[in-house]
Amino acid sequence: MSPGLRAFARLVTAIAVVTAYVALQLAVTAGVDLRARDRFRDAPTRAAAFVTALDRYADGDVSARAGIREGDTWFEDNAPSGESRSTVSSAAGDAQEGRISLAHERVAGLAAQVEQDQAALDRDLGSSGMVALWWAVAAGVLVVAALWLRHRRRSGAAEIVDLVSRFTPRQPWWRRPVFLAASGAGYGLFAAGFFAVTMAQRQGYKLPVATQVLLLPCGLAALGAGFLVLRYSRPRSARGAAQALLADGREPVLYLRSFADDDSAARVEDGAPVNLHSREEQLAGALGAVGPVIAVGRPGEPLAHLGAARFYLPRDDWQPVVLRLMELSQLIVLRLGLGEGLWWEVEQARACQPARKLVLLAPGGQPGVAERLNRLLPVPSQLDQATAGDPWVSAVIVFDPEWTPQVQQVGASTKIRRGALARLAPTRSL
Amino acid sequence: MSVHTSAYNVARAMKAALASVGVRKRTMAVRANMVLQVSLWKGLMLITALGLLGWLVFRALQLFGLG
Repeated sequence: MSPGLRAFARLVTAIAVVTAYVALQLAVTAGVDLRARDRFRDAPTRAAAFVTALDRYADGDVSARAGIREGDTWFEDNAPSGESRSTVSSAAGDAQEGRISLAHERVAGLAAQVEQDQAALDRDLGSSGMVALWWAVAAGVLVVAALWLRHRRRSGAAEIVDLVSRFTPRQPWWRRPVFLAASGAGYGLFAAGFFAVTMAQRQGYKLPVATQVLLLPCGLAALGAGFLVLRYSRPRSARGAAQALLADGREPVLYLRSFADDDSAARVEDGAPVNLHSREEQLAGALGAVGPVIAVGRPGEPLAHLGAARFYLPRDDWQPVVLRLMELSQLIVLRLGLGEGLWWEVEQARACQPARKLVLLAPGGQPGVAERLNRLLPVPSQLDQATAGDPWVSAVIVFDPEWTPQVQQVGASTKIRRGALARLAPTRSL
Repeated sequence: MSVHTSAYNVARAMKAALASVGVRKRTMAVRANMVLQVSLWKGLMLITALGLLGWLVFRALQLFGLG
């Protein structure tokens, strides 16, 4: 699925959800109007009975007071807030206080008022029903369109999903929904706690003392509870690679690295006031601009790392699958290191894939990496001058169509060095 | 507001490097930063969604005389 169509599909889905919600609210409103009309259906009979009771009361029949009260209560409970209700209420009050002639005058037009109120209820029901119907039709059309686009998205990714699914470990069906629900509770607690603490800090002095005393500790408790719940539930509710590919629909970004790198990529850095998210999650988030990020998981790991969606290849037969995935991916992001398997992947990407697909992340403090990479390239990368930076990733290398490396140092200005030009001015921007 | 974590710097470098070979992905660095806030936004959206759903259910229960 193309990025434009994917964005359109997401927009249609969001609009369909909102429209369906509004249609449901309007349907409830129409239902309320229907009940109000049905409840008022007996109004002419009740109005006649009320007038008769009033007549009997005027003739001295004291037992008719019960009928007057009953009529008043019925109109109070079932009539819309229109004229008939106030007329009955006023007439009942007048009768109770002995102003019988005034009560008679008031109910003279009661039958006509009841008809008017019934007509108003019919109009309300007609308009609310019609509005609900149109919104329901719009929601139906949008839901069908969203489902069709979803089907198209999923069928577009069928080949790679089929490949990756073979290497996604089976889990009990309830596991992910349970941990998703736990994560939902964690997110709710985390957000509520964060906003409570923020409000206590910024606006606390404006609040009543009791609220001030409760807000900060309760907020901190909710924040801490959310943090702990999320730390436990998020890795257990993480999407597998096949699910991530189905949900996105674009061709993936294949993230390759040495398994030994996972620990440094899983580090959570200071930055946001309260941060839960690892370097790899940030990297996967950035690469989400290109496509869903998938990675081979370390065999035997008890829980998948967060960030790139994982699948697990057998130790003895992983190379053909990686080659096939390289072909099916739109970008191959490869963090350089010292593992032999990793360098086999670099060689294969260099030999079999177009240059534009490969992005190399070079770690700092590993000079052997630059030397080894240069042996594979037609033009030296000058990477050895950039390897003194961040030990996780100190430089990003991409290639032009002739495999000339272009090195971008991490944390430097966005000036790009070309391999051939870099030799003329090797030290200024690195 | 940009938070300059290592991953953010990597995303910025990657964006610039890809741009140099004609692949323009303007949102890369922004996305790397947005990830840091995603728990808060998910929580806020969840609370809002649950509130709206609760309102709908409350009205429906009232309609059927159960609320």
